Amino acid sequence: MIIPAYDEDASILRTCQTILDYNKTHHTNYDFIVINDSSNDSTGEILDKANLPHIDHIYNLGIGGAMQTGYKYARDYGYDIAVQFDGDGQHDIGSVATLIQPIQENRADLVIGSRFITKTGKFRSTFARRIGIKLISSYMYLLTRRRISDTTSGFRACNRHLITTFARDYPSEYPEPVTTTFCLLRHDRVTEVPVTMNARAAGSSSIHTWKKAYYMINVFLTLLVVKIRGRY
Amino acid sequence: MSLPLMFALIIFAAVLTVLVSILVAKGKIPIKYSLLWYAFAILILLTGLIPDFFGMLGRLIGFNIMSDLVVGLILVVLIFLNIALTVMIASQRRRINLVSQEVALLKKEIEDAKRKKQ
Repeated sequence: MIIPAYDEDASILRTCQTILDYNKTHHTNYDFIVINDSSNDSTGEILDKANLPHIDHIYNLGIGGAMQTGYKYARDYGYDIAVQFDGDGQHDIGSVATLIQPIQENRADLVIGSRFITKTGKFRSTFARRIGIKLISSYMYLLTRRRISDTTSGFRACNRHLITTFARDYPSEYPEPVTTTFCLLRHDRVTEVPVTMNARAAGSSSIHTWKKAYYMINVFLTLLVVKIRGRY
Repeated sequence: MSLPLMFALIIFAAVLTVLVSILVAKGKIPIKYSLLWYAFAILILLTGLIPDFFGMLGRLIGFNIMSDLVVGLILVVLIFLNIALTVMIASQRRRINLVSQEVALLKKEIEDAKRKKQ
C-alpha cells in the first residue's frame, strides 16, 4: 500500500496504526510504505519515531511524484499489487480486500474504488465537486467510450504490469483521471468497485474552491492530449 | 533610420554581446545556449549598420516603418525563445523530480541496511 503524505501529522499515525491493527485482526499481510512528500509539519518525525516504513522526499513533488516513488518502490521490491491509500484517514482499510479482488482473480489491471456505485460511508463530496466529477466522467466517456463514475478517486489498486508502467512514467498533474484515461485508451482492464470512504480525519482537499475552474480546464486539455498522444 | 537610432542599436548589440560573453565566461550560460543570443546581437548590429537592407526587407513584407520591422522581428524571436525556455524548464523539472525520487529511494535503502546491521 502506497500512502502519499504531505503535512499529515494529525492523521498519519492513526492511518498506519489502522493498517497494522487490521493485519492483526484479519490475519492479512498488507505491507505499506508512506511517501513523505517533504512535509513542512512533523509528519517525518512522527514516522521516524514510530519506526514506520517511509520514504522521505527531499523536496515536494506533489501527489503524482509521490505516487511514482511508491510505484518505483513496489517495482524494485517485487510487489504484485499496489494500492494507493490516503494518509488522511479518508480511505477505509476494510475496502482494500474488495479493491484488490479483481486483480487477484486476474479480471482487472486497474481497480478504482468508487464512492458513487453504492452510497456507503460518511463521506459526501460537495455539490461543486460532484458536478466536476460528473463532467470529467462524461468527457472521459467521450474520449474512451467507457463510463467511470468516480474519476478523481485516489483509492485504487493496480497489478504488476501497471506498477512497472507507472514506475517508469507517471503524470505529475491530475494523475487519477489521466492514468485512468491512459489505461482505458490502451485497453487495459479497468474496473470500478464500491468502496467506503470516510470524512477526512484531518487536512483539506488539494483542490481549492477558487482553483476549480482552472483545474477543470487543465484536466480537459490534459485528457485531450492523452487521447491524441496515446500517452501522458 | 536616424543616426541616433543607428548608434543606439549598435551600442545595444555591443552591450548584449559583452553581457552574454561575461555570462559564458562565468559559466552561467553554456556555449550552446549563448549562440542564440549572439545571433540576436548580430541581427541588431546589422539593423544598425545597414538600415537600407532591412528597410527594403521591411517594405517587402509590408512594414511601412523600419522600426516596426525591428520590433516585429524582436517580438517573433522572443516568442520562440520563450517557447524554447518553457520546454527546457519542463524537461529540467522532470529530470529533477526523477533524481529526487531516486535519492529518496536510495536513502531508504541505506537506512534499511543500517538498521539491519544494528
